[in-house]
Amino acid sequence: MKVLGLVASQRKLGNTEILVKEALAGAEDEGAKVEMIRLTDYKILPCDGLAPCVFGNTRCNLEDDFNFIVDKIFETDGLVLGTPCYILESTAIIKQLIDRVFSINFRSQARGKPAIIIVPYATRGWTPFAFLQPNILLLFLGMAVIDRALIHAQAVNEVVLYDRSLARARGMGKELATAIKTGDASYRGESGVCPLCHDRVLRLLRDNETVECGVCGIRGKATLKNGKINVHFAEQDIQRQRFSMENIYRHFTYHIKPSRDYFTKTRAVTKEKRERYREYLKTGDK
Amino acid sequence: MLKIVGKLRWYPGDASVEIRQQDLDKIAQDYGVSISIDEVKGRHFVTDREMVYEETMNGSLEEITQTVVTLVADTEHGFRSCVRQLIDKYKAPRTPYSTWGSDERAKKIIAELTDEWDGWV
Repeated sequence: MKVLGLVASQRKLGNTEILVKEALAGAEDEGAKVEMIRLTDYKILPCDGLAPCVFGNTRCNLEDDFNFIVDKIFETDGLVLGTPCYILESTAIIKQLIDRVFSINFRSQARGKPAIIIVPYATRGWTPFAFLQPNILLLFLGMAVIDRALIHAQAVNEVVLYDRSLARARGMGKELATAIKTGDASYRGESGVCPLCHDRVLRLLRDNETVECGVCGIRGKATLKNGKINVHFAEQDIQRQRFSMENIYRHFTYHIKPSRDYFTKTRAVTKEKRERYREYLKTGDK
Repeated sequence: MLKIVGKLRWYPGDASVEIRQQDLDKIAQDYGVSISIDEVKGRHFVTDREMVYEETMNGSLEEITQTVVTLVADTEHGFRSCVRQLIDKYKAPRTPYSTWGSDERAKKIIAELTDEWDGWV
């Protein structure tokens, strides 16, 4: 049984790394073989948008360590993802990974594997989107997030002062290992509003009636009862979630790949019309 | 008076409910337009590790699996009203090439209405 920890913080031995190590130690207590990767030690380039991965049905061809990281995720049985909360959400490297996992398309080999998310943060009230990017990343990969935690700690290594937080992380690691052993990857964390990502961040659509979990793409109705907002997602709407394998396949197959033919069909016109922008505000090559 | 001819293309999973001719007929009747539906079945399928999937990269965008709804209207008012109804019922088609095959006037009207009504925001 293998458990991989990913640390999305630049700081060595910072709060995120310490908490991920606690979680890994918890998994190790349950018999897992553990490994940790500090993502910022590796070269992960921004996606260049040229998409040979899609149009060539290949792995990402950028020369960096992304495919190495992905292979590690595919090889593991469970994942600990630790990211600090910087300005309302996770660090930029998570978004970088999200953009790059586009290259995996619907072929994730991590589908169904359990994962946990640990987010240390400094200021209460500054974490509304703390789980947004980690959820997007893990759900795109088809992983099953079984628990997630916001851990209040700010200064370097400060979290070591808080036994309860360390114990929480350790316990989550144990649970992760148990989930791998039993095959039960059901969510066991704090309940949210979205039945899929368990977050509480909803969009109110233009009709002022429909709400949507922006991460999962599922829609429901919000009603007011006894002064409380009630949100209901019908089962058929839950099935339309964007990160099912079928819907990721549809997205690439029908929304992205045919754009190549559309590009070809409109090439003559776009080639002519873009010329007016070529010299205007031209930036020099460096 | 030149007719306005618009094509709207919904790909699998895009429309919020099934698109059926009998429902389109009701809309057509309300606004005095002609609406037809064409269910296109893709032709290029491949098997990869026990999964059969449609390969849409190399062919023409008209030939992949989709539901094409063609509207022909004598008036812009009729055309607009109809497109609005379709967006309300099915949500707007999702890609920039969803109106391929429409005449230029239809494309402009559909673009304006989908930005306004959309169904996705």
